[in-house]
Amino acid sequence: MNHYDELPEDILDLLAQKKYEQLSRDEKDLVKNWLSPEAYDEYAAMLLSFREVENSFDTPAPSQALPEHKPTFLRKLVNYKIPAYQAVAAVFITLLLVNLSTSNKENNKHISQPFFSTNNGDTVPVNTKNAIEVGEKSMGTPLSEDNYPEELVFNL
Amino acid sequence: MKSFKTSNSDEGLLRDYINSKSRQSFDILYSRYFRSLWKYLAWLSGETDCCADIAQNIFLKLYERPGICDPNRNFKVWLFSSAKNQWKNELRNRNTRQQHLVYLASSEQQIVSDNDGRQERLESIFKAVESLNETHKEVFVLKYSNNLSIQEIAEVCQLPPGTVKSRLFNALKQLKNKVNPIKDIQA
Repeated sequence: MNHYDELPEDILDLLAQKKYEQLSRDEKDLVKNWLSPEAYDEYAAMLLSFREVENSFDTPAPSQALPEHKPTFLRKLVNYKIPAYQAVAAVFITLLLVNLSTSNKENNKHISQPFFSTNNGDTVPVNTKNAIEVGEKSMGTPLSEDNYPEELVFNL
Repeated sequence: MKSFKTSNSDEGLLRDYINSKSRQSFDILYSRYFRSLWKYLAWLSGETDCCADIAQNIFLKLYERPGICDPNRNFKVWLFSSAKNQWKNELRNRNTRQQHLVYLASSEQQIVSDNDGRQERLESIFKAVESLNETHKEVFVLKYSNNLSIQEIAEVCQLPPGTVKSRLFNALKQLKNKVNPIKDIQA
């Protein structure tokens, strides 16, 4: 078995970071078990040059660019920019509609209040609840032969 | 000021992208790893343009189907493993079409230098790394170009961590011998 299998990873990291003289006492003790100071500095200098070589490379542009980001519907909605005049118009129209609908409701209330006139000229409101119930009942009466009013039966 | 998302972990950003489709999270991951992934592939293959496309392809897949990467696992390991697999597929397809690879050697011209000695040294480093065999080159690049930990390299390469350390140190020794042959003979 190759004894470098046991080489501490810290030494491999230090080689790319510091010269021998920059190492702390503990780091020097660790390195000395495996490498001489001269060998350490040679490796460190070589790695420094390797970094320089790499930094000199220009990364070529790939032939296919990344696609443009497609925002979700919700994000589109949130990010949608509304011109000021449109916003003002929208608020105005909304207020107008709200105002119209509330005034209509009030008008309907007065008009739709059912009443009838008595002989002495008084007006009496109709109990709409009862009227609806009566109406519903009468609408539901079947005109079968058994129930047909006798007054309307003519014997020919 | 450093934003919260920039300081977030890779896996946290991925989770954020999966859950909310946050383009910002995706862009951070892309800016962190696109160049890194390209360098890894470029060192392994000796190509440049094609590797940019492979790296981009990995990110496109992730963009369209973020579920292909499990946010509970190490993102870097997934990324580099995927890139490696895709590169191997690409290579297989090329072999059947018998196309030739264009080597990164032309990039030597891109090496910036301020004096002849330094340029020579950088060129010798470049050639030395390029001449390493694939197994040594891969662990060396993953460690010193992509800053992966030994455990992460072990997962990408599917090797025991001890073997990774051993290969890494052997790669360092080979490079030292190639860059400083005279010194080594004298020593």
